[in-house]
Amino acid sequence: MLKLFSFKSLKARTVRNKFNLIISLIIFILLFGLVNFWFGTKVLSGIRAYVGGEGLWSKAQKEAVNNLVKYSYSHDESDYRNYQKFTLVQKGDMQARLELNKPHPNIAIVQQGFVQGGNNPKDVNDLIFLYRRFQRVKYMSAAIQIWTQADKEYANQLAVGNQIHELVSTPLKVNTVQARSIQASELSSLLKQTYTTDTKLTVLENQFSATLGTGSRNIAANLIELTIIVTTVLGILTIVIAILIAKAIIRLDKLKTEFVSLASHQLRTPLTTINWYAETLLSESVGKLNEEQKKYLKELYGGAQRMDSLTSDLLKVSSLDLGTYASDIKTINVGETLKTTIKDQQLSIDQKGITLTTNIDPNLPTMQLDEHLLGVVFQNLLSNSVKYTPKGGQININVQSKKPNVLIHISDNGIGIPRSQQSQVFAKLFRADNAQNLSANGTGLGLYIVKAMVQRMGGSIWFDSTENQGTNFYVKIPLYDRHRAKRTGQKNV
Amino acid sequence: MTDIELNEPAKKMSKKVLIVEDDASLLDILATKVSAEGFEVLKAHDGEEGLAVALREYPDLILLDLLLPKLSGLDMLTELRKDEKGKQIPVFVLTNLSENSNIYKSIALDSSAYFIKSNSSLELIATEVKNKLSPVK
Repeated sequence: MLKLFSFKSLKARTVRNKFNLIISLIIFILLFGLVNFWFGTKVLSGIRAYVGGEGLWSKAQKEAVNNLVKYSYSHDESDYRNYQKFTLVQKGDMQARLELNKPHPNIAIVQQGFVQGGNNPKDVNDLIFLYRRFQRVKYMSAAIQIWTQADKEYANQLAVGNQIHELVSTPLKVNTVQARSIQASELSSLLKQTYTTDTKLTVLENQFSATLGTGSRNIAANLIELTIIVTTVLGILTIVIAILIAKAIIRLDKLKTEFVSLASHQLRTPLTTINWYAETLLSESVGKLNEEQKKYLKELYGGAQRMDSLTSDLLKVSSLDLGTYASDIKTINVGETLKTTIKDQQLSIDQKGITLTTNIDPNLPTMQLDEHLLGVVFQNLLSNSVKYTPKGGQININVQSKKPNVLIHISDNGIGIPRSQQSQVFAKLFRADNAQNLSANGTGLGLYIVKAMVQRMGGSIWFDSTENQGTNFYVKIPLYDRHRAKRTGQKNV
Repeated sequence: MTDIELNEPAKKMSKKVLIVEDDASLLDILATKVSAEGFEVLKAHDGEEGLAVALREYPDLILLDLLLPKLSGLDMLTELRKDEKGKQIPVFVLTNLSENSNIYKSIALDSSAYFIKSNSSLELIATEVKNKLSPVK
């Protein structure tokens, strides 16, 4: 058991196993709380009913004695009947106790006894529960002993009552002064016994209530202690397992990313083979090709190029996720970086007959940035605009200094992003439906990468878009950021 | 030397380019391309062989892969730079490792260029080699 719950064995469990364990523990804590509450309520309610029952018992006892004394003076039968009526309360409780002492008590007899004892029928089950489950527990067993003793005294009192009744109801054989004096003297002696018994019973009644009172206080204290200990221990265990689960998930995520990174690297070598051999064939340096052969080879070459850009994207994502991206922060001119990006994409812009206008703030200061990060942001945003803007469309790029930030705004009149999918635009591997319909090529990683890189630069990115009308992307980067080097993981050569 | 002379293959006075690459198919096509540009090609299949050839032949330029058996490209470069003449040899790193840390390390070892193989065409590499060894005047 100890070994089962040792920290080492906890750590070695699978995530699924840990999940099961944590859920079991939470269910156990809940069940424990419920059972504890039910049990505590039942026990304390039972004790309350016994103490209340003792009150009724005690009251009946006093009334019985009063009526018996009255009867001994009045010789009125109705006083004796009243006396008998009050003794029924004690009789009922005794009936219940005697039945409960049996190995297989008849519950109906017990119930009938307790109700006769004046107890509320709703309390009867708790009275039975407490007696049967706790008769060997310290306080309850002491209380039962007191009760048994009280019943013995009660039996004595009944016997005395009978004798008084017999004495009073039997007519004197000779009604002489002497005979009346003997009867009075016998009555007096019997009444003395009644008072003695009543005094003993009062002491026992007090002991009964005091014993149960102490018991209930201890039980309440023990239950609270137990609840605190169990919930604290299990709660701590639950937190420990939750931490282990979180760690395992982080580790699995890292392993997954490392796997993607490794797989992407491994893919690059065969891709290079395809690229270089296709390129060599296409250059016709090893022989002339016919048009069809050239067309097929170009397809092959194009496919390999697309796969290469996918592996590059996957590697960027994994280096960002793993935090292994090492920045190179230099003094750069944002406008120049933008111009380089446009130059790289000029061919595809021209091929689609897109009009590109740029407006770069002449007063834009130089910035301390990783040019590669910024270049990828420009490259991905611009290539998206080009890809999803129809032939003859329009793209505008605006770079303005809005202290303390630089604001980059790229707008196009392309296909836009459907409203229902706008919240997912920056999610990993997401591509909007209309983008997928337009072009099968796309990894769904571009904007995820852009957002991650903008955040690394301490900036933010947002957009607005109307389907079939166009999209505006906005990037805001602080002009000065003391913590940028730290956040982007400045290179450490 | 003029461009025209350089384009005549395997000339006795032609410059030597050492290619260190463990992938046979890549080494073949790269060697074919570089020799087609008029350079004498020396081949090595691992870092140790590459270092031995480099220190024996002192080529005019080295195309160096990074992930190599026996001795990694960066380790080979470190060793090469310890040699007085080896220090002078221009080195182009040709690898599929795109982590910036590798780029910084190779820059620190005085490499002249860094190519991601799968992103770079043979034509681009050949052009850069030509520019380095016989810049157009």
